Amino acid sequence: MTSDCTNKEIGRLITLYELDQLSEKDRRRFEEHLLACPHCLQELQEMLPLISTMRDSRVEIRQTLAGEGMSFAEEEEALLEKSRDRAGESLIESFYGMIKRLLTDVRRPVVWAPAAVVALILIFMLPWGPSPNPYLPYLDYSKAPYSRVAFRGPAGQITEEAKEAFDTGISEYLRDNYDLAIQHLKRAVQRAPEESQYWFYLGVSHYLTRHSGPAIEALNRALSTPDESLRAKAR
Amino acid sequence: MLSAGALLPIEPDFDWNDLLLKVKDGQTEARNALCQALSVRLRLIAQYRLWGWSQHELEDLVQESLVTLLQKLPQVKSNPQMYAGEILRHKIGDALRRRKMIKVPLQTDPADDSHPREAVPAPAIHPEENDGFIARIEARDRVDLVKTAIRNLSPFCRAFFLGILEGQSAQELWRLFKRLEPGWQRSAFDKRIFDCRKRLKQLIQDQI
Repeated sequence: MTSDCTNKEIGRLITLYELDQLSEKDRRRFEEHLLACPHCLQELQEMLPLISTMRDSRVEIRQTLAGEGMSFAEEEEALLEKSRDRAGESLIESFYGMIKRLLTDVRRPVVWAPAAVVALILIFMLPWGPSPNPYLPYLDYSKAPYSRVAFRGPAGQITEEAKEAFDTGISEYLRDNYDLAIQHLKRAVQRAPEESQYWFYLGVSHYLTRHSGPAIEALNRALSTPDESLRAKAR
Repeated sequence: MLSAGALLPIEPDFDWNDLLLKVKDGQTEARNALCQALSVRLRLIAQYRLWGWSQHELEDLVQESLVTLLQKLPQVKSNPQMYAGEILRHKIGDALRRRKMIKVPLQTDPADDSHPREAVPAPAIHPEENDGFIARIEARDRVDLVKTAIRNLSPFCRAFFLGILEGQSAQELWRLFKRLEPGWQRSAFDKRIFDCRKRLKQLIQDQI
């Protein structure tokens, strides 16, 4: 066997040369190559009897194969059918390809830098802080303002210590820190157990932290207030 | 010179220019070697170009080409094989004009008389003239081998060879395959056809 073809690009024209399908220009090009390429020369020589058979017995070969359902028209139709099926599949493939490309491209700064800026803007536009308590809408009154003036109970004056605990508790309550609010309000009601408003806010704070038992107990105590509006809220 | 019909083995490496210098120096051995090497090549080209011509006619053309080459050898500076190829092309053109013969294309049906042409003898390919594996097979068996090989080709290759057998030109087949694969370049098509030929040859070899 001779060595490889000396010019594979031209060497590939051998099939069309054998089948007499080259243009004059390409045929001349191939023949020039042939004179210098032992490999192609040997190939051509080896295939000569086969090409001769194909030329001479063309009709017989064609008729036999056509009898078996193998004709150019049928093969062409089958290939076109397959091509149409592939075109359908390629739509899905192209979608996956797009996703894949996006995932690949995202590593490039030119893609991810603007995306990062947009993401940051969106993040800063989002409301910060804890989400609002889901029980708040069930309160039939606004969370604030409240009256800093405590109602005077039958027991008399409210101590400064109770007032301070209540104010601190309300501050936490307004900041939605209900657990802290409960601690301070509990201190306030201990100092001034007759103060209905203190019990009311303690009850609401328990309600908002989903402690139903203590909430009911505190709100029941708030019902003893002489203030009709507060009593209505406590109910 | 060579006897009619005989094909000589192909030399893998050939230094044409070295041979040319030796011939110009008057070395007889070199002269014979040059003629033998060129004869193989020119005859094969003539066979493909003048399909259906007798071996004697082809041999005459080759011999005439070699004689012309030897006459003009002093003017040849390099690549005598290219020069010989050019001479042969001219000889073939002259011969075709002389015979006013329409070349028998592969796709032409022998039963179709629409192409006026002279009666040509059967292709002058004889198994004993070719040492290739296909040449050793009887003509009848070769037909069966070709049929079986075509049956077992891929749909693409089968369509290509069936198209050629049914008279489609390569250009028409290229247009069809461009419809199948719109992104294809012509070079890709040529490569695919080349692979089809290789596969056809392999399938025939496998059957032997």
